[in-house]
Amino acid sequence: MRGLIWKDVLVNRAQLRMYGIFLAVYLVLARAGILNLTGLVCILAVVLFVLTLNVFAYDDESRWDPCVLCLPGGRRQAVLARTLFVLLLLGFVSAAGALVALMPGLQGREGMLRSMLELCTFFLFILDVLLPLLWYLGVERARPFAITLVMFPLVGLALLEKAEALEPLEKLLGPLFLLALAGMGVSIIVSLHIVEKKEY
Amino acid sequence: MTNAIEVRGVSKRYGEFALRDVNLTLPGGSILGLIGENGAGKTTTIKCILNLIHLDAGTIRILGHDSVREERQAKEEIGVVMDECFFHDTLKPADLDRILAPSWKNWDRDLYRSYLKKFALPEKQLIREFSRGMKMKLSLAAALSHHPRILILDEATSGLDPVVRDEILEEFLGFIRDEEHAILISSHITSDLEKVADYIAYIHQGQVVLSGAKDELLESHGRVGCTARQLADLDPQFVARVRRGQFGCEALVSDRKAFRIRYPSLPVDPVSLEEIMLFIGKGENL
Repeated sequence: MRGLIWKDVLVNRAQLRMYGIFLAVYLVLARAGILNLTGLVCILAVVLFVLTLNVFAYDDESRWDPCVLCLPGGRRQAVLARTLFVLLLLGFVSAAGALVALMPGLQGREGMLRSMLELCTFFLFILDVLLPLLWYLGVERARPFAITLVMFPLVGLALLEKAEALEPLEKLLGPLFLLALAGMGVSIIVSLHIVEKKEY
Repeated sequence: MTNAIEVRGVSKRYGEFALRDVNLTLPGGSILGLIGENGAGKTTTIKCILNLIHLDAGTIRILGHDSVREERQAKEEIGVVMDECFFHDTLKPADLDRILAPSWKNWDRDLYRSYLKKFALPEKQLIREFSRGMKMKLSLAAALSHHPRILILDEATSGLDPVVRDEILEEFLGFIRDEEHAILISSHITSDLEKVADYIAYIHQGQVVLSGAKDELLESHGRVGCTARQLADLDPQFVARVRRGQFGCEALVSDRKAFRIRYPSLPVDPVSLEEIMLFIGKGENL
């Protein structure tokens, strides 16, 4: 499994490097007071979403799936490695966000930790549905559903905020995070079931 | 000695296409060539063996392991090269070492590096910049570096120039020198299989229509050129298939010696695998 996670990292290394540089530039600009950190959370969310779709897209492009299924770990290893890679990505981005929150002299850093927790919770809920969908449909057919999957909750949250009804949800952030994390277990079981049935 | 691969009564339906009751045996220390037209079922058979598709019926054993229930043990023993290189273009050969090493119990880093050197594959060059021949050699290097006992190759030599093909075939012969090793190779380049295969199985429209030791098949089968009148006088039990043309007829006989005794005036020529394929694929019964 370690090798397959490495594969996802190596295949995406150009993007990861680019996003790293982008993050550094953003932080420099934030330090100079030109940019606010609240925008950074949105950018990190987009990065997570794009990278998740990318790993599936690159595999589709090179027709990697039959190759990975010829390894001894088979289907199970493929699903678990991919899930772990996406979770590591989320963990890495969260850690970067938390690190930024600790940096002195950055505008908007006070709310950064909470924003990162909100981002993690939101993205975990998305992943719970998105990963089985990507295994089932493949990235090209799943793309419209994936965009819808992100847009609907975002619009819902925006409406709740407008109606000033977001506060109860904010109070439940901790349990919601745990619920999303537990959902990942269900998501893995569903993904495994899909991949077991699939033919390559 | 346990057979390397045993395929028993395998059936698989795919819409219009069906693989029907396929039986194959690959003994240890030998090469089995799977021949057949495009779409005949060669790749489907290989996918069944690799558990990439689910069987409708039948069983497959790899070195005694059930290919579905004991998939992990079975796959530890197999190296696979498909008709194209599945490694991402943005990777380098050196990356594959890091990716594949943790997946195999017996991955041999030094062996992998020695193959890269032997095949003149630069470790640090992007796979995107490789030619097709280089990509296939890379696939072969990756397939051989965990010390598999069985190699499965699906059209791995198609689209390669004769020099690279010969180099790869030499590698197969080197691999098979160990009596515990075996190769299943599907190809429609029958000349390659005539060079290296010990056994041949011909799949036609989803069924194995001919199988056996290559030398015996080539020794026993023959081609008879004759007129339509002579053809009509032949005993059907001697004739496997016939082809009728504007200028004469040809018959494929399955027992050359017996035919010569029965019809001494008709010359019987040796046949190649390609000719046998053409007779079975395009010919008709007498």
